[in-house]
Amino acid sequence: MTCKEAQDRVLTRDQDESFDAAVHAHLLACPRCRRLAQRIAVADEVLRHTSAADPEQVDAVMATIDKNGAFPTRAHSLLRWLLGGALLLTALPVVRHSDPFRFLLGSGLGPRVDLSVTVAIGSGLVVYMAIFVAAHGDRLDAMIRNLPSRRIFRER
Amino acid sequence: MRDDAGRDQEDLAAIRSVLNGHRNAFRALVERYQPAVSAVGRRTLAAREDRIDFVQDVFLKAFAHLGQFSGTGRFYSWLMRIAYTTAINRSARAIPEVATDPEFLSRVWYADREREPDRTTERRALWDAIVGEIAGLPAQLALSVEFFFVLGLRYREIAEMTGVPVNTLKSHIHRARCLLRERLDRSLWEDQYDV
Ligand SMILES: [Zn+2]
Repeated sequence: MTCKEAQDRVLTRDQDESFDAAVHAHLLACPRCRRLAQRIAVADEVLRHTSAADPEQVDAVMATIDKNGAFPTRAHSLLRWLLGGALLLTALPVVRHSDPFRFLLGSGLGPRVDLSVTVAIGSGLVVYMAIFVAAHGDRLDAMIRNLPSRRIFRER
Repeated sequence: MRDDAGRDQEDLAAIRSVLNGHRNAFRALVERYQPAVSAVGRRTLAAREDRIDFVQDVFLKAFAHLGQFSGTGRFYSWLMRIAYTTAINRSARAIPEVATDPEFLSRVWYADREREPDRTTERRALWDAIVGEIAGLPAQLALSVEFFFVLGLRYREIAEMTGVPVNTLKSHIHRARCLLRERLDRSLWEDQYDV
């Protein structure tokens, strides 16, 4: 590893990043790069904001939470919801083409059964989507806010 | 922010406790992170009243949405993202105006300094180097560089938060650290720190 490579690694080091063996070996062998690494570590530490909490503000925050804070509930994972929706969607054609259903359609009640089942499926999907949106309102909102187009717009 | 792993474990324990119905367990999180949230407010909002209100707002949101914290990343980073989004929403126009104004940055630095009186001289010198790097950058990028140095956020966390690409951020951290090195070369702390 050259000095340039080692110094680039030191100068772009992430928080708590541990260097790989090649960088370590270079820093051990090269006093100049080692000095740089030590200096950057000192600078990082000095610049870091580490002040103690302001007790008044902490009390104020806790008082506001006691007064207005809706108690948090555990979120149901988005994945679980999507799996539920996918299951629902795959179950529908299976039911529609099952033997009992075909038998019903073949009977005199055919068209009426078909219509009511379609209405029931449609309502089921609408209810599912409504509950989904209601339960994930905040997250959907955050996703929309973070769309790339909105980000560009925000930069200037 | 040192000893991250231990702190993250403590955060998770506090969060579990809150979600199990112990509202007061949230206090530990407020005590730990109020300075960092205030620091975001100081960097993004010009009016003092806004900043006090801002801290309340951020923690209230974090409390209400605590159940959505997945635990895969750091709570600190999740909270800072709430703070950043809240700040952006509060002052879509104020951020570009204030974040790169050297006078504003000096005031911010001064406010930080008051809370850590014993590190004054060193910070002043290094802070000037950082201001030298970020003055004139687009606001989002300037804030990102500050978030790295001042708040100890990682590249990926900042990128997710601000939308600044990791590589762009890295090249600015590289430049800022080059300036820091020059600053350290000229400064008197060679003996002090034995570097
Ligand atoms: Zn070297």
